[in-house]
Amino acid sequence: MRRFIYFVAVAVMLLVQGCEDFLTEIPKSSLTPENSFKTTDDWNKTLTAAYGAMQNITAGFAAKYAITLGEFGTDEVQPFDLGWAAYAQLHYYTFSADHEFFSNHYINCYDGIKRCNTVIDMPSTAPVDPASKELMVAQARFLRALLYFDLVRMYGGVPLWTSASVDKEQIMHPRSSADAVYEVIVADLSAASQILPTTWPNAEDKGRATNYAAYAVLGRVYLQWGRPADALTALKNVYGKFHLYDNYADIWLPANKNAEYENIFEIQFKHSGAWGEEGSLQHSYWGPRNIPGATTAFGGWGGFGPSQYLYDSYEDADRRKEAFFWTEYQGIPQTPPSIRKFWDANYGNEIENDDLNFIYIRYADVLLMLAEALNATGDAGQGEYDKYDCINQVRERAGLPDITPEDNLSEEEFADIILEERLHELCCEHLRRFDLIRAGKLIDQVKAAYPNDGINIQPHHVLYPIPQSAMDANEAITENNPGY
Amino acid sequence: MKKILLLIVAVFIPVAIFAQQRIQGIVLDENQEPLAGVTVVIKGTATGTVTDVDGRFSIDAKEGQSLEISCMGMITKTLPITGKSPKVTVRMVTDSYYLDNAIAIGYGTAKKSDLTGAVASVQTENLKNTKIGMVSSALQGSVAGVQVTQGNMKPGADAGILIRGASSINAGTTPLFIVDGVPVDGLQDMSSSDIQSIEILKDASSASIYGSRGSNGVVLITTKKGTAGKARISLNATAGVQTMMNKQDMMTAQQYYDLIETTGQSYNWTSAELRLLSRGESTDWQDAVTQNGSFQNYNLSVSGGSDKMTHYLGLDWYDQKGIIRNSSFNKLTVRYNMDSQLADWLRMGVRVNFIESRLMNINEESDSGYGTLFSAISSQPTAPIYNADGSYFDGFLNTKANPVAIVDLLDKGTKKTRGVGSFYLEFEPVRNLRIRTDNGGEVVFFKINEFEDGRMGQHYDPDGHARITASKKIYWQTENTITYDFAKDRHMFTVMGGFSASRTAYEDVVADVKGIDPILRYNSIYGAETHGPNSSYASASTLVSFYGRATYNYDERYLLTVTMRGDGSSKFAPGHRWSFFPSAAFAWRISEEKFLKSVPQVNNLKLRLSAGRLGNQNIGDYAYTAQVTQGGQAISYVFGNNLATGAAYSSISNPELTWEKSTQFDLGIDFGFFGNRIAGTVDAYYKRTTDLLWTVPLPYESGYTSSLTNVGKLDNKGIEFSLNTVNLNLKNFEWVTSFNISYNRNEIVELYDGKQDVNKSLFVGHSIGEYYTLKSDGIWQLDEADEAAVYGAVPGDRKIMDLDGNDIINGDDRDFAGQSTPTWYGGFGNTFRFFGIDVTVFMNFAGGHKINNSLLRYLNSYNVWGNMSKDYYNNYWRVDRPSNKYPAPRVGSAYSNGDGTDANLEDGKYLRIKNVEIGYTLPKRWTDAIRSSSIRLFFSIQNLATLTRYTGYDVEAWDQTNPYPGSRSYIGGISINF
Repeated sequence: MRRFIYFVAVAVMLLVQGCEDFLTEIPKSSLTPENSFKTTDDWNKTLTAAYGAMQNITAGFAAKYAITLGEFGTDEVQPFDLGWAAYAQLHYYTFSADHEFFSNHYINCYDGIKRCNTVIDMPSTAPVDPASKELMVAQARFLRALLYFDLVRMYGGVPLWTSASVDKEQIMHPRSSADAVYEVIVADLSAASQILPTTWPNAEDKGRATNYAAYAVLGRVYLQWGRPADALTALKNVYGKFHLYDNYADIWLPANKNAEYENIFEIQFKHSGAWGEEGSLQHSYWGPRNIPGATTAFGGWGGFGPSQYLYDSYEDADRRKEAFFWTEYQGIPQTPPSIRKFWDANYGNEIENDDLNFIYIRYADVLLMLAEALNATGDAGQGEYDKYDCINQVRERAGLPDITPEDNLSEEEFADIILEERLHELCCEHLRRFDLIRAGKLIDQVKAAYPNDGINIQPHHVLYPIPQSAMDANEAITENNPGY
Repeated sequence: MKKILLLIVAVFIPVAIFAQQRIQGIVLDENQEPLAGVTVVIKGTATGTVTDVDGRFSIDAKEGQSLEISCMGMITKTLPITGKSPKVTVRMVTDSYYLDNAIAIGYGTAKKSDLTGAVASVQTENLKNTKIGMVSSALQGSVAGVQVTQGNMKPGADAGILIRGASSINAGTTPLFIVDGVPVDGLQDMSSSDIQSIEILKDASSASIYGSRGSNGVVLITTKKGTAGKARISLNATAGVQTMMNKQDMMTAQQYYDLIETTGQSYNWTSAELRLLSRGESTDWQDAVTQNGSFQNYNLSVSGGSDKMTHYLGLDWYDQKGIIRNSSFNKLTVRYNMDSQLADWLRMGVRVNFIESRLMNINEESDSGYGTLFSAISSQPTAPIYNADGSYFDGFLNTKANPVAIVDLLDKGTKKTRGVGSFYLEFEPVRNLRIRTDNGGEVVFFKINEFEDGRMGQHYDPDGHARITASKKIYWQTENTITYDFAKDRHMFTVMGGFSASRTAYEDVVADVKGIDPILRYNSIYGAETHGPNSSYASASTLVSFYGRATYNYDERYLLTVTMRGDGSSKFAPGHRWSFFPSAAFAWRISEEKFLKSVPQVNNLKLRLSAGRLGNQNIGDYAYTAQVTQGGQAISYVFGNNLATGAAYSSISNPELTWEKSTQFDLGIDFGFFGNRIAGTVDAYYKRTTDLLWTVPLPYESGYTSSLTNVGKLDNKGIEFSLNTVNLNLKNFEWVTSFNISYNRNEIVELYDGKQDVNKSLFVGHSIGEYYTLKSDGIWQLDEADEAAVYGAVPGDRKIMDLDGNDIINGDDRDFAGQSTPTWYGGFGNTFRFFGIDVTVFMNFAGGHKINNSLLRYLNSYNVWGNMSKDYYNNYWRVDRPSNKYPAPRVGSAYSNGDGTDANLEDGKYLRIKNVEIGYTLPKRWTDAIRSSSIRLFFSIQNLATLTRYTGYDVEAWDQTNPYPGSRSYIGGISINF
């Protein structure tokens, strides 16, 4: 009997083991934490994905949300495709927290932050040598700062996630104050600026973040945060390290990618075999409108474009008035003129698959930010840091006369001139909305640009609402921004 | 009531004495086939006879007496003898509640009288109410508790089946379909004429033998076997035409022009449009993309065999041309079933089914502007179809494609090749002990060939774009059971135990090319200009199960069934893979008790009680583990102008992921009165699903948006009632009615973390799919301008109710607005037979729900992307024509299209006359001449009428925006049996 029991027990054990083996299926078409992150290359791929997230908030397939949220509802860009309620609501300021662009953009940002956090929290057991690890973490922190910056300037204070672990018990993070978010951004950028190289020596690394990029972005962040003195400190590190192209088209010319001449940090795109890969959608979104054949004939979708107000605000002598705009394209008049910054002569005739990098920050912007910071701090500057010198470098390229102390401009008047100069230099580069908010002029300028549209813009519109679905999914977020 | 009176009359009429006469007759079934072995007695006497092989009998009787004709499985018929009836033809009516019928119950059969669970048998006769479409559609309205929705009307589309309400949120609500023991994905490939019986296992006791996958109910299909004896050949031919229903009434070109000009919207009228307008013409895009559909179905079956071996061969060809041009479906089905008694102790059999089908699809992109029907509805009526040079006009708004170019040029074919088969060996080493091994599998190949011609419009690649998807699914299973029956005195036991294992493996490959020769297309992609993105995918899952069932029958009065099944699934996390699904059921056949046995009016009265637990594992493979995705848009990146592959977490791990379980209680009564002329079933059930497999939203800030988790509780409660009556059973006239109605209440009992709602889309105390929206309240009028201004609105905008009165319209002003799934549904059929003619009227109905008719957001608000409805044109708000129906055509008018509000919700209840059919069976003497046993001709109208308030294309459609329109069909056919 005992032998029988023994026999049965063994048989059952074998059967159970056999069943467990039979019931173990490992994913075939994706990796798991168990079989991934085994080599330095695995970790490099993780960092690559963090860079990849930047495409979503600049000019990649999902970038429609970032473009529209950064450009619509300003004096420089208006939607023409008003049949799409999503567009019309942004233009007329009739959107609510349910607007799908908010949630899509918000999800894209935090998806990227998750990827950055994975690298930043790299375990000590990871098979990566310390020097490489330090560089990888610095890049990830740089990218995380860009993502949080996108969030804080649109939605104000948002919940902070700075760790890779996802503990389902502690998954509801409340909103932090905008200041706390800025603190994290500044800390990330400052740390990155200490570690990142000024340039990546190997050609295959071109496109990675540099310490100049970190300083330049840090300047932009501080200005937006209302701390011009700190901005000045950061931006000084970049002054004189870059140049201005004589020819405006060179800024976006695919042949000039990562030349580190004027452009300081570029989000990388590459024309690919098919739509939805590494191509950018800038040409298809901004190209001239009403072209027969549209995007396949170097035209654009025509859903939105620069406002007439923008074009009319240029002086005729301004070289940019011609360099940046099409008043007609192949005999088709463009009213208002469409923008020609984002022009890919090789692949612009493919649908959302051009070869243009997104120029995240460039030297002309740095010069204008320097001028703004010097003006705001009352720092007269000396020699090369003079605010006149900074703005005039940009104006001279445009063929405009210098601004001089003899013009006797008050600090406020000078600030207005910088704002105007930023409009003319940096239009359609996803900056205008935030420039206007910083200057406190969003409402006035929207009303000035579209006096007949009856736009119902209110003071609370300087912040977008936290997306309703994000509020619904996170019970620690109890209050939306005022007015929503 | 009438029939009761007739019975009484028949019994109490004083009987006069008349001369004896010899009556000769023949007894036929409903299909005019002769019935052998039918008992014919003179009522109230012991005189009687039995019909011969040809159904003939002769008996001597007196005028005034009655013949009582009875047969197993048929309703007894009483014929009064009149002076004029020496020769009679008697047609019997099938007793659909016949208690000796063998019912498939999974791993065995049981007599209907012995059932303890809620098992509904579908009468194959009912399947004939659906002439066009798949077997799934044919179940509609025929079984209580089974809600069938033909949500997609395209040729070849399966209907959706929901048994006893939706009991899951994310893990699927489709029942388990088992055809001859092999689980299949759906019924699309079945040929209805191959089906012997369909049983639906609804309660926990009956379904728990398929425990792991039974929580949505089980549909068991048994296909036909040959019968020993005479060879039978059956030939059916059916053909018909289809016309589109519910064409939407859109604005004409002139109305469109007027409206656009009224709004002052800048619109560049192209010269082609102006030319069309000047000629007073208008393009009706719906007409341009549709046609009258056609349909044909040929079916041949041959069966027969000897005592030792039987065969069944079925061939079926189905061919349908849809009502959207260039959409079609055809299918060839071949089935061979063989059963053989090799020795006293050994039986074997094979089931082989081969299917080849081809679907030419429409463009199903929903509201993107390129979907076939949506693009037709929304294209501006001012646009011509063709340019002057004959090319397709391409000047559409919003880069929409030319709808006619889409139907002409889109080449999107899906070819499916599928083989399903199984074989069994059954040993009976000692009497009543059966050991059976049933092994089977399925191989499915899909090939989807797509070619988009550049001429389809600017949305498409000008040089042509081809995509090929090839996939293969392999499934195998082994089922091994041992069954033992024994009886002692009044005690009868059946014990069954078994073991099964199965594995499903899936793989696919997708190749994508651009710049391809329009003649070569997907047939030779080598020469394409660009290749990629190409992709491939593979996955697999396994299931191991042990199960047992014991039934006990005491004196045919008390019945008890106990079932237990244990399942392990690879889809769940290690340590959480196994679950056990027990059930028990008890039935009391009250009609077998002494006090009722003597009451002749009561033929059957049975009380059933059951309780048990079922599982659901209908989720994707590998959901328990975190996954890292490599490559893809915005994951990969570019460094140094070279592609760099990225890798990112795409899902979070679920280390405790396990089975979804539902516990179900059922109380049922089966009844049959007056010789089963009134028979039916009432069931009440309560089903609670726990540990729901649910993609719970995660805070977006985590970088994930959701995660599959076992949480929550969900209830379904309902009542089902079905009734079959033989209202008239006269000599030459029969009238049979079947009716069923079901009510189901679906309610979320518990969410997670004490939440009362999730994303304001699921709410405790409400049904899944409950609408929660802002309330629209007509249009702001001129005298309300001040009030409107509070909300940033102006007269002519849609008025939204500020429910919390805080002067802001936001998410807090939402409220419940009805649910999306019907709460009641059913079917009602009547068949009349007189002489050789039969008439059937079959209706089905559903209600208690609202439909979000999302097409209205384009039709009934100002839509600068294309056409709007005529109703909008006539009823939009204008200063000089204030309307409370539709908002003014003002760009930027908030909520004008009704999104987020209840403005586009429509009452979903309907009553549909699904089949009106008239048939004629040729007289026996004619058919005998060609040695045919019966020939029937019929004509049918499907979807004759639908009563509903819903205004879209079809009240059952799932996709409201780009549906495949419903159709009315006119069908004729012939069936010949030898």
